Amino acid sequence: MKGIAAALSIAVVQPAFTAFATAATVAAAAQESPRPAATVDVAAVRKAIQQLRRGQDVEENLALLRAAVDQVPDAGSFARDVGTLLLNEKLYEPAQGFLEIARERLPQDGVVAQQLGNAHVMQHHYAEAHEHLSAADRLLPPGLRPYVHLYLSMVLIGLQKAEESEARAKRAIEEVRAWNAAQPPGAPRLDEIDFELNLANVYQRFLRADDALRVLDALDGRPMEQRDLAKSRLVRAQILEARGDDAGALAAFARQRELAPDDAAGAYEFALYHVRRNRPAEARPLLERATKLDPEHEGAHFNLARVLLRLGEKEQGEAVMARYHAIHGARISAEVRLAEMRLRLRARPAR
Amino acid sequence: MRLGAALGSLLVGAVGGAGDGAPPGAQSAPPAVWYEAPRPDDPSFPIVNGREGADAQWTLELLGSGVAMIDYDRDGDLDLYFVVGRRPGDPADAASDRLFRNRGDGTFEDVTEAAGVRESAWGFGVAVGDYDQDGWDDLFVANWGPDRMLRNRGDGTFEDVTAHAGVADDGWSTNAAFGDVDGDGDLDLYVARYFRHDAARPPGDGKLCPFLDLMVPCGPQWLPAERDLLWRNNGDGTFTEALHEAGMGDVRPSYGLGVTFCDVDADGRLDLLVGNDSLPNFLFRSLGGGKFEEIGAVSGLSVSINGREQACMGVDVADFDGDGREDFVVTNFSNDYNTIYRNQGDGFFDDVTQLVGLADVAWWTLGWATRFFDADCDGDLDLFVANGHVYPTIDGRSSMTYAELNHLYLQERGRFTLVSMEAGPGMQRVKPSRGAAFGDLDGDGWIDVVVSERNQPPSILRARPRPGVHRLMVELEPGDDRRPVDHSLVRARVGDATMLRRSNRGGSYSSSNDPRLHFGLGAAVRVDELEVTWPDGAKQSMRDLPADRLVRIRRGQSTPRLEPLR
Repeated sequence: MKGIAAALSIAVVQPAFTAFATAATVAAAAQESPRPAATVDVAAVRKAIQQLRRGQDVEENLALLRAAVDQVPDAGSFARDVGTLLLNEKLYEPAQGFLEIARERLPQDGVVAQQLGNAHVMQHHYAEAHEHLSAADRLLPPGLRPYVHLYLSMVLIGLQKAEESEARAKRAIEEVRAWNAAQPPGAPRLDEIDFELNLANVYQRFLRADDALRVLDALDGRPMEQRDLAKSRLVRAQILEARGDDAGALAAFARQRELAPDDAAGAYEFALYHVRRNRPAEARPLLERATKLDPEHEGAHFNLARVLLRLGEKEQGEAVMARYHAIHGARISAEVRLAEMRLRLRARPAR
Repeated sequence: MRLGAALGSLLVGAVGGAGDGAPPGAQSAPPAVWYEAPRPDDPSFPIVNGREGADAQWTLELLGSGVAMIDYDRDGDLDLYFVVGRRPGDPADAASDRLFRNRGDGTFEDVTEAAGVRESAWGFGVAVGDYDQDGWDDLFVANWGPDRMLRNRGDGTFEDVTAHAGVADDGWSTNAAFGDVDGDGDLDLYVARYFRHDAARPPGDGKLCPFLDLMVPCGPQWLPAERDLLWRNNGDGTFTEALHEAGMGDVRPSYGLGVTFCDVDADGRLDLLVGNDSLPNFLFRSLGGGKFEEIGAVSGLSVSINGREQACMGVDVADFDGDGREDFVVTNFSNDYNTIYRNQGDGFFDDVTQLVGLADVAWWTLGWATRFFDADCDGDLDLFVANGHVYPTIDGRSSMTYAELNHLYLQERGRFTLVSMEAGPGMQRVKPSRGAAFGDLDGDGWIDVVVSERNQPPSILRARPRPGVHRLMVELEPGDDRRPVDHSLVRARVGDATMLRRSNRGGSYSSSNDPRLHFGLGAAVRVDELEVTWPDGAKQSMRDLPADRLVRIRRGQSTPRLEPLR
């Protein structure tokens, strides 16, 4: 039987950071996780995860997953797969709980170390992230290491070790190129452009706008797919806006929209550019687009509701505000219960 | 034209220069703003707030407390009331709030005992207002345990009137603000509260909770929040709790910390912003007659631009962009930004933090007290944020530290620049700061800052006047009817520029500010017109006022009294 992640076949929207690593994880899980199918109620597990994504019955569903870990012979692999799926769902705290179990059971599993490191990164636990990602660096094969370097670069920024961060980022890109150069013709390659865009995104998120722009400037001279060019413009627009370069930001946002009209994040960020400048009429179509593309987008609903109310669309605005409150309330409720559950997961000794 | 333009060349020189802690010298342009280090003879007692380091195991021990500027003896200068906490298990007389009288020569004397304000409760916040309209400012102290109302007798002493006033609520109050919520001409009182803390059964059964790789005191999330209180002044020295009657009781009880009265829709009625920790903020809009509706989400003030609640600590309201509408700042937990909300008109606010250049600069710091004020007296409002992490053991975790640099941002044409390291030794201190009060302690027309530091002596940060930079202080006095003048608005016109200021003691964090209004005039030597809008909407104006004066305006008297600033 394939790994539980593959068996569950849950479609997930993966953040760009984790896309490659997750694919690798699932692939590795598929190869390394044979286990008796009879010991796990796959349907129940799948339902539990789907409900968790919606913030439903959090405690019960996590308890079900935790109990399932105890039921399978290969508990480490199972906990790894559940943890990975929760990570993909951005349920970082419970993901960490399951991955900690996996890490204890599978101390030589580089994917577990990487995913546990990632879970800590997303929660800004930089010291722990550094520990686990460093272990992943030792344990993973070369083709899987570049994203470990990228995450470590991010972590090192958080730890205020700028020079080490820079060295890691360079090493990441060098290894991507070296890996690709070593592949035989026709073999799959790592996406260098996507990788560097992620690096720029990391720099932007970690308050290193100059470094992000440097990466983007270097990319501008290279051929890029439309999707990547759109990503590049979005990051650039956000940096320029933060710097007070209104005209530059406006041009970059507009270009991003041309290149990726179906990108909810791009529509949303461009809308916020207008919201901040008190231009509700300009923000409205972008927010309508964002909510259509992502019906669970909390911020897009919040801003669309307020924009509609400002434009005098009272009935429609109130309806969207009600939708925002529903999304917002569900998230708060889920986060509180997840935090409680994490305490219980931690309190429970690993087998 | 903004007044700051007249000083543009000086400001440019200031931001880049004299950053080594040395006093400004003749070799470079003087800094736009300079804060002295506290003096050796300043109050030196530690502001006790819980146990140190990892021994602090209750959230109660982490929040710290505030400070009030109050001219309790009406001698013309501001005295200081420090709210002090406790340590678990301390005897009743282990610590007390402290009152220090300003001698007028830059020194303070401890008059706690003489004034009769010794306090044994675990204190957090303080509000100042003349609730009984006898002309003497009174004190309300927000405590864990019974709150306390201290009536100023006018003879240098205070009387504990808590029982008579009926405001001795036994919960965890963090902050309070006086305001006339029903327009009946006396001051009512809003009290923000946190969660129910039972020392015999502390949160989480006394166990700690994870934060990063630390185990820290649990809360406030998922702990039972305490509902805030609205005390309506009955006009006879007593108060009646009226939260539900006012329409404020339908909201989810939250973890209230920041409180300020405001007027978000410029209808002349007092609205109220309550900043909540970890949950959406409240904006209570007055409907008149003491009734309110909560419009936080629609207004935009309840959450960040992404629709997400933050963890608010302090708040302030002021027209920072000079468009005649009042805006807000809300300080938040670390790993987040302090939020600037611009008033876009019609009661709508937008989170413009990124637009004003503040989205990144305070990401790692944990903000508490805050205030828009004109630190460099150039005519526009700058911003101060007191910083200090809640967890004493946070040092070394990512980019966070327990003691932090307070942030002073100077505004230039709508964008803020952090200048703490160039603003003198007072602003370069690294402390676990919490509350702060803002006002002119020494009568020179420059705004001084008094910061409450957790378990350390307070920091009195005196602004050093800069020659050639002009300013005006305005003090409002009640008329014969003694109706309170708190929350009056004053507009000062200088040439084409108009500055709007509110007489607001509240805001900041658990603290009470100088009620006088401060106008930085830059190079201007006169104010062409000054217009006062009293709380009931009546207006009073005067023309052609010379700079560098304290202008005392008594309601109903057309001629103000002018005194030179020092």
